[in-house]
Amino acid sequence: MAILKVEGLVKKFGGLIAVNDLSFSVDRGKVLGIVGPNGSGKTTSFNLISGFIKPDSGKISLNGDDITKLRPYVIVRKGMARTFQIVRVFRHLSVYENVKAAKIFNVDRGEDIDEKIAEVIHLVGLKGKENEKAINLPIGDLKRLDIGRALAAKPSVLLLDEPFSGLSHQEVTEIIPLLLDLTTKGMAVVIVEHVLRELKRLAENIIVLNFGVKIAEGQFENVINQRAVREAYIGAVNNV
Amino acid sequence: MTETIRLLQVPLNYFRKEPIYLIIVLFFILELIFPFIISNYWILRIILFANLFVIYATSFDLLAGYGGIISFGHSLFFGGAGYLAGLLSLNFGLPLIVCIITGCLFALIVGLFLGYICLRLKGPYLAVVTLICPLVVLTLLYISPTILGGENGIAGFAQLAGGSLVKQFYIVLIVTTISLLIISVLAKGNFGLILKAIREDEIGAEAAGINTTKYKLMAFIVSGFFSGISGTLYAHIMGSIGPTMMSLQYGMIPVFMVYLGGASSIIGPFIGAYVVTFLDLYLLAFPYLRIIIYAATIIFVLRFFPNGLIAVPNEIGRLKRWLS
Repeated sequence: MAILKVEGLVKKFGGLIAVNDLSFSVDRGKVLGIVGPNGSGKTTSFNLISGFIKPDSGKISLNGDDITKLRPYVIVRKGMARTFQIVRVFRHLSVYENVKAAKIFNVDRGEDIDEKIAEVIHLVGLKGKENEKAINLPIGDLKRLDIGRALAAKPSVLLLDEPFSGLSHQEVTEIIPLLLDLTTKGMAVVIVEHVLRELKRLAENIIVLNFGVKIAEGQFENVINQRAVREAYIGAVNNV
Repeated sequence: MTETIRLLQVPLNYFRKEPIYLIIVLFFILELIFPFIISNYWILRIILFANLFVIYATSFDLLAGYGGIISFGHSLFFGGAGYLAGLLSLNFGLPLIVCIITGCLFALIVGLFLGYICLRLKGPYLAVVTLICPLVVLTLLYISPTILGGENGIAGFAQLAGGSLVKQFYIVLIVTTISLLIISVLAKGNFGLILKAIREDEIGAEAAGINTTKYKLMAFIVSGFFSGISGTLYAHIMGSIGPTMMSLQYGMIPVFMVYLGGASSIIGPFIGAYVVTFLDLYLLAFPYLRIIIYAATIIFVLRFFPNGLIAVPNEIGRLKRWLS
């Protein structure tokens, strides 16, 4: 059964249809990639799914519950967390405080919050930097912290908005096993990403958006070779 | 309910990490002996008012320093609570404690109201709205001479502890200590962290599972309540209250105190409240130079110590380099 199901999502900004009749679903433990050229509606789709923008029509279900009209913080508490293309960490707070802010409302009775925070910090590879202010971290660590803060909310679905942008090949190589490890624990991951070479290593299935419309869906290799996808995304395809 | 319990949880390590609690206890013990060693009536009275302003400033710090919600309308809580307490005392002869509690609850409701108005406002828009609200009330005060005393305000209601300075000093000291402890527990605990997260990035805070609307409202309510405490006590110490308490001057007082002492620290506003109160009252002797010296001091401190007086030890080195 799909853990996240999006049906007929539509969002218009004035005369512009940013997302048009978008439908897809993700199963537990799977990674779905969302690709498309700039302005194709990828980030808008994420904002709709995570509750930061309300859709004009369509339905979003998480674990069978309708979350279409819920506020972002409610969606997070229901089990879907996200990161941002431009990281939105709390810059003047420490790594520990950043993770704690997301962990406060996600600790089960009897659990030690400090232990859980330490686990998350260790998981994203920021151990030893607990007291470092976020503003002093390099971009790679900021991305890790953004992911860590999302993971602190104990999500069953993780939405990652261009997690590899601005990262070196080395940093990307370090993050990929972390994400794959999360899927083995049953977490579903949806990734918006421009770097197709890296996405190929993560996502079995992808969907391709162009001008807000889903133009292709399926296994990475099959989709990326479709004519419509090549036409829409020719520059990036050359990099695969 | 579980969420509320989590907010009030104060792990023991906070007491070890945060020296503020020790400072509050030392402050209380030290000031206990002040009435015995300070024979000057005015000095003791200035300390009493400084303590009142400590509550006013720290309550503002919770909202502005921690929550990043810089309101210029804090006099609404301070003056509003003071006015209501005074009116209840004068017109209905209610016991003083009832007047004070009612005044504080009124400030809490005003906090909820102002918070609701300001929920979606930021930066200059927030500043303008919080500036306008007390001015509207101030105008109402001026045009209501029969009920609210007009420009003369109201006078002649019951004074705290029958006007005894020493008793007033101890009552204010106890209330200030308890208020400081409560505000510190809130600010240094999960509530403070959540407010800081909202201050840093509201969208990021929502994405972290924080109900930003609820916590911004809570910040207004808590801040309003404690400002109300200082306002009601101030009114009942003076035995009178006038429109000045609702003026821009009283709205700016906590802003000066917090940013002069150092925002988002509790101890900073504490220092700021003492410095501003003493400076303000001592400069009464220089009526023409008063405002100039007052302004120059604040400009100097904020120019060279942008993080306030609390950061002076850390910034002395930077200042030396700049001077050389």
